[in-house]
Amino acid sequence: MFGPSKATRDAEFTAFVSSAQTPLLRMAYALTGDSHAARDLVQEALLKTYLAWGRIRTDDALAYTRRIIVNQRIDTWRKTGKETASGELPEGVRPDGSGTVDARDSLVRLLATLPEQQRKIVVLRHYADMSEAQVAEQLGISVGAVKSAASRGLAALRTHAATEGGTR
Amino acid sequence: MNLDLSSFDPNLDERLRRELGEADLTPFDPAALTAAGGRALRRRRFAVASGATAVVLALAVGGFVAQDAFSRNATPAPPMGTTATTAAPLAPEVTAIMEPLNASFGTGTVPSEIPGPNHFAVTWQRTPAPGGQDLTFSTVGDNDALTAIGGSSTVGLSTDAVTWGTGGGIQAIVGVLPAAAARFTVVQPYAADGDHASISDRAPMVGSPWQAFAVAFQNPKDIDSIVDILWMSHDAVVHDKSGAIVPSVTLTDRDHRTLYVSDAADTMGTFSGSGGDASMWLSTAEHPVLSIGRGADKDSPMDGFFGMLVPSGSTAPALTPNRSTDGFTQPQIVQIPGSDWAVLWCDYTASSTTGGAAFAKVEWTAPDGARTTVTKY
Repeated sequence: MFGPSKATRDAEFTAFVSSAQTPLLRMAYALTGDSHAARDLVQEALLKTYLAWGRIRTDDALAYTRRIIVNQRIDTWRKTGKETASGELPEGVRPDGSGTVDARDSLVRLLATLPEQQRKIVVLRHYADMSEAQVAEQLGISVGAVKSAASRGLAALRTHAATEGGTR
Repeated sequence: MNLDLSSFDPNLDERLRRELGEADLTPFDPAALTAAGGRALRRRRFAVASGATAVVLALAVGGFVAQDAFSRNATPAPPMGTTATTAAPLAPEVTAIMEPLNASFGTGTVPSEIPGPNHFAVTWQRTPAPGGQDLTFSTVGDNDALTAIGGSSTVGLSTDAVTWGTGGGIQAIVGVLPAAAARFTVVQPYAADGDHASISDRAPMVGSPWQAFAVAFQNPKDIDSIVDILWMSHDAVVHDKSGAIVPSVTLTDRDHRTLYVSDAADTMGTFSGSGGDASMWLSTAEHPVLSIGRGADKDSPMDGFFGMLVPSGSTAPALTPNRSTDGFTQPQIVQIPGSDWAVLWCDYTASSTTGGAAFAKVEWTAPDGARTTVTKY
């Protein structure tokens, strides 16, 4: 079976990007806590989606792209540039802080404190509106593991929120 | 921050959507992204170019200059120069088109616009021209039309070497790396400074011993200050621009770093297994230190790697942490084959709240039995 013509592919993909980029960027931002990393992540995922367009249905494109974002988040994040190096003994060396969340994004900032798997599950459940079964399938884990991680993630968010709320 | 804990869970979905809705996230240009996808697709299909589909070479148009003005960094042929690979297919030429080196598809750490052309291609001819030129560097225009801006020769060059050039009004270098290169890094003095960002891309040249690469620089002076281009093969052997092997060792740290030491380039650095790279000048200290930190943001704990060069044969490493260090792995000393150095290293985690150096003291026993302590750095 042949895939779509280039003109058809381009038209469909352009329409898809127009409609899907905002939720994808927001999900990536929730996962990374960094607007630049989120943009890189979505761009890479969309390009892979374009390459696969001939074998994915338009209706599945959002799920396909979202799966790429979730599964490749860390790899992409680490590709975004040189690591921060110092010629001295470590003194709190940090990457460039530009692009990280600002003060108003309190929940996004709290999400960044969660372990990666918990953060993914909380974002997929509470932003992408995926069911526990869908999250389990997306991440390749059991429904029980999703429930457990979601519970721990929310508890951690609650704890962090209490800590920060009490210190300010 | 003032979170309403009583309604935290019930309102999580709503709060998350509201905050994400308020985030300043720059949208993509869908048409530009589609065009980039098209280029990626063509590149995937463009395994080997036939002579009949050779690229259009429009020489020296407008502000661009021809080959002679394209400064070259081809390294001298080593005594034991190797021959080009004979792997089939034997296409007469191969062209690789890279992605545009612009910030609209960049990391955000590079400027929004790098002056001049930023989309490049490299063509390699199996049979060199009469003058020896077998590389043509081009800019890529609309419809992937190529405009030659320079050329070079790999004749007599080791296939482990790197060659590149610049000129013709571009704020970038364009060249070829060995096909075996899995990673590369440009050694230049200001790479870690502000306003000295760079962005790069590579593209395979199937059927040739090479792969194309280009690096665009935020600061054009950085091009003149390039000291070396180091590359690492898939089996973690590090080479310099001449193809010579650079002493290195792959560690068992959490990022599976390969740490290298190049006396010729006055640099030590690492290629991490997760894709990052970092480097530091050797001449900065008697015992050079490479400290690499990575954290999600300025308020979260930082995962760090600490590596200090000590004399080969040193033993009994010890580290004294400072208050900011939450934990660190057992320090190890690993020899760096081919050098007079060993590396004393550990992974550590540092808290962001207390600041200060992660380690107050570094100790080891030198090969002559003397206990050495470094506390001032």
